[in-house]
Amino acid sequence: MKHRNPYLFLSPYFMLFGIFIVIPVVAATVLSFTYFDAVRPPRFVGFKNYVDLLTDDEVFMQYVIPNTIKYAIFVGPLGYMLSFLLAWMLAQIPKVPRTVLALIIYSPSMTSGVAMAVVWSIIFSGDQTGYLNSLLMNLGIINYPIQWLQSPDFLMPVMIIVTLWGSMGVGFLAMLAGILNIDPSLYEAAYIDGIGNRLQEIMYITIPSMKPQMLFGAVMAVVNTFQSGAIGVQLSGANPTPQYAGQLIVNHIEDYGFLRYDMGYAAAVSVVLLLTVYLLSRLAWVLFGEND
Amino acid sequence: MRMIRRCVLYLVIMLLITFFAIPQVVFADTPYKAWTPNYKNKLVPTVVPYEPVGVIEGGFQSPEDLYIAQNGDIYIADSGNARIVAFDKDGNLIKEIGEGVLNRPTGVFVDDNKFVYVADYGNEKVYIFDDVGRLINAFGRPNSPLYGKRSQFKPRKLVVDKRYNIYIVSEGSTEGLVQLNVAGEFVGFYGVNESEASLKRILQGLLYTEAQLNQLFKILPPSPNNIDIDDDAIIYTVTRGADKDNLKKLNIAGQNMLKTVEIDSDMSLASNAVDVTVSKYGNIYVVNEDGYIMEYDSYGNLMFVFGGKSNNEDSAQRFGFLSDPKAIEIDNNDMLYLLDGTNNIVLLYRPTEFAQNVHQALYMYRQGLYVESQQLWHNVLKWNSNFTIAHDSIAKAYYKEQKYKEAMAEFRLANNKSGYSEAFWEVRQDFLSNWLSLILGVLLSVTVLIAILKRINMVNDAARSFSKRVMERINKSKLLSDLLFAFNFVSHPIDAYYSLRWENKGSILSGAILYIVFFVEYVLSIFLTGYLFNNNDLLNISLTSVLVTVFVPIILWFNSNYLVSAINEGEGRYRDIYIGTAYALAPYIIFTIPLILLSNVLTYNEAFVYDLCFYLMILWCAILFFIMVSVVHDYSFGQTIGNILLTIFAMLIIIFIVFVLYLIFNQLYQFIYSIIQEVMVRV
Repeated sequence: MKHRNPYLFLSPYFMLFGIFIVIPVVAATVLSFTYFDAVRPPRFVGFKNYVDLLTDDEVFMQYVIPNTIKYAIFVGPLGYMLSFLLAWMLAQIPKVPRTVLALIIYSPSMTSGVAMAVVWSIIFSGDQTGYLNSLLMNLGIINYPIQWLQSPDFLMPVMIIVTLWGSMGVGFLAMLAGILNIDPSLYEAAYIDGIGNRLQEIMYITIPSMKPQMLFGAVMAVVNTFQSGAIGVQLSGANPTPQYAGQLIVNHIEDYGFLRYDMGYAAAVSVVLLLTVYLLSRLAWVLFGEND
Repeated sequence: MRMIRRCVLYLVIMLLITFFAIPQVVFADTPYKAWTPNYKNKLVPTVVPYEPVGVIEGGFQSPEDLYIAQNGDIYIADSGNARIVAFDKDGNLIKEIGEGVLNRPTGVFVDDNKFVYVADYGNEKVYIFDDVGRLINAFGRPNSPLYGKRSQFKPRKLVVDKRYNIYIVSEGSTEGLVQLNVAGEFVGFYGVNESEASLKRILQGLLYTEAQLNQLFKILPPSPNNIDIDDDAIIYTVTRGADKDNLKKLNIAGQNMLKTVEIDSDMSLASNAVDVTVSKYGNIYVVNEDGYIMEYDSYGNLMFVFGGKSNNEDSAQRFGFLSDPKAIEIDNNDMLYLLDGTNNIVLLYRPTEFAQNVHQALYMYRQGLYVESQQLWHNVLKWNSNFTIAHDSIAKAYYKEQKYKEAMAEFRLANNKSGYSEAFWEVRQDFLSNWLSLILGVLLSVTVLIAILKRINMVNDAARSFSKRVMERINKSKLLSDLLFAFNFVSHPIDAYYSLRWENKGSILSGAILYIVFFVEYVLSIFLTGYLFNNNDLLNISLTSVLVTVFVPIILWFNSNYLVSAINEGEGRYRDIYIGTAYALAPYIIFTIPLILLSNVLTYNEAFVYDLCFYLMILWCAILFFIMVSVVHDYSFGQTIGNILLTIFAMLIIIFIVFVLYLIFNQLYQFIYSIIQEVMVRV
């Protein structure tokens, strides 16, 4: 056995990857073709779950998909651009304040649960003692307190704001590292060649030199956007969210999987989610990946 | 008191009409017109819903209020004579109440025990008389500390609910209605109007100190003017002079349940309302100072406006017009009673068959009898085929019956876009559930097929040779390659403009073609954008005005831009600006057709997708304009912004000069024309 050693070295990775990624994905895919209520053994139903999802599930078509797209369009690109902008700005300042600020900006993405309870639920509290309501009422803009977290009109904007606030995660750190890694002599050379301002510097030097980090950030943004579903439920305190205003795909999966115990259907939704995320990651590859 | 004979005669005729006459008989033209909002919420003439049928004269002196009791008895607050008078429904005097007690009664209400409640403005008291007219109670200003130290008690109007709580309109009470319980104790204020802070006031609130703020006038909400209560004890108020919500239907928390719809009209409608009443069907009637009577459905949608006040003294006496409306009431037969304070009469109006049909249909619809209500609405449409509320209700009934295609057509006639969107969603969903599996199957098999063909390299070779041939063809024709060059502007705008300026890409002809394509697509987008996303009024579009709105700004733009940059170190030639502007419109040219297609399959559920794409397209065009100015003239960032602002300024100046020239030459023309006229007449 000539090639035994390389496989030996690869085996820890393969084992972990297999146990935590491959087996769950395969299991979900298999379950998605069955009716499974978590008590009786799964019963094979073919494509029924998928057909139901696309034709029969009005909540999915009417609320979940539009909500998810809306949420993704705002949070994905905006959060991504915000991460890049903040990373670039941080890269311009000296090392000590940079490290401190980076830590501060990064912390919301780690502490979101606590922060949610401490900061956001007080700001958006639904009675007149909530910070935002109190401010608006003192200024005379509104006459009655608005139930920010229970109102179908305001839940989605609040979710987007809170998510953007906490979106400076790993992708942001990767971009910061990427920007700091660029050879300063490139900029000097570019200035000699005649670029005039900071915008050109970013367009011609910074972004092309950190393509791998940009790709990583993009993929992380896409995955995070589609995976985050807890936020609406956390803010409004209910699943389903009020009038499905903040219902994302993940909430829908939880709704069917863990509230209705229709595991097969939930598995079908999660397979659709997996495919969506995969396709969008491919899009990120096309945009930011190395072409050669 | 003696009733005048004429009144009795009128009433007899009226009763005969009500009980015996065939409804189709219309025996007099009504002296006034009637209007209804059309699909754009603009008032248009319609069939008259109410016609005047009678008059009650009872020797009143500046009467202030009117109330119709459950059994049809009419109570009038005869303010000038300091009494309440009651007639039965045939017009016979029943009783007079309150002589010696009342001073200036301005409001009257009768509860189900026939107890009479009177608001006396002169004595600042509320009196309660029993069914034979004995005074049993009188309430003055509440002494509860909650009422406020400086609040006055000036009762003008009042209503009583089923638990004998009294709701009083007190003049100048900015805190809303005064609510007293059966024992006359102050319960609280109810149904306060809202005051609105202006932007200036908000900024003042942000910046001023406490002392400065105290010096400003307080923003106080307007106090309600009149009040009514319906059979479900829901209270309605009208407020004169408020900016919005002049008519309110109050829920138990005192908040307005009606949605206000902006009506496009020269008449002031509810904004100077005098009184309000509610029929047993829940329809709301409001009369305003100008004598117009408005009828709303129970959701606050305006249905009819009719009546009026004649301008000169003579026609003010014409039967049917009001000169000083004081109060409006409706009885159980839907007859309207209008109290005229100057002529000291009560005018009676009877619903026409048209209005009866409308009321009946609304009632059926609210009872859930959709099919029956639809038939009535179709009857209504025979009188007025453009009656918006009829189309809207028919559509909603179809929707409830799950006939979505019919609902879509009717919603469109009523111009109810959100209703149309919901019906369309259902139709689309139906289509998807029938065809989706097939479409998915075809897509899947095509993808698999392509993958297989790719694997065996057949498609690749074929595609490669095909694209090679196409490219050769394109490269041969300069025009074609110039036109396709537009795609470069979308992906690499800076390089593309550079080659436009320095490598002679693009031509006058290709620019002209792009402008024409832009114009054609603009016109297409006006006419073919889906109904839900189309805000153009297709009935009032002329090709000339579209031509002017498209080409005048564009021509002005590249001319003024050339003029401005020629003296500002701009390097671009006239040709570059002309072609560059055409290419800057490339995103619009490329993406309009897909957007038009998209707008025809989306509903308001997915509206943000369309809006986002649309604004991105516009933003992209704006960025291309910016890059064009910057690259073609070789400007820096700041210079570009300056140049664009200067260009816009130059455009405005040119428009101004053209306008002035037009005026001058118009004067000259008029002058010469009148000289010629003069000469022709005199010589």
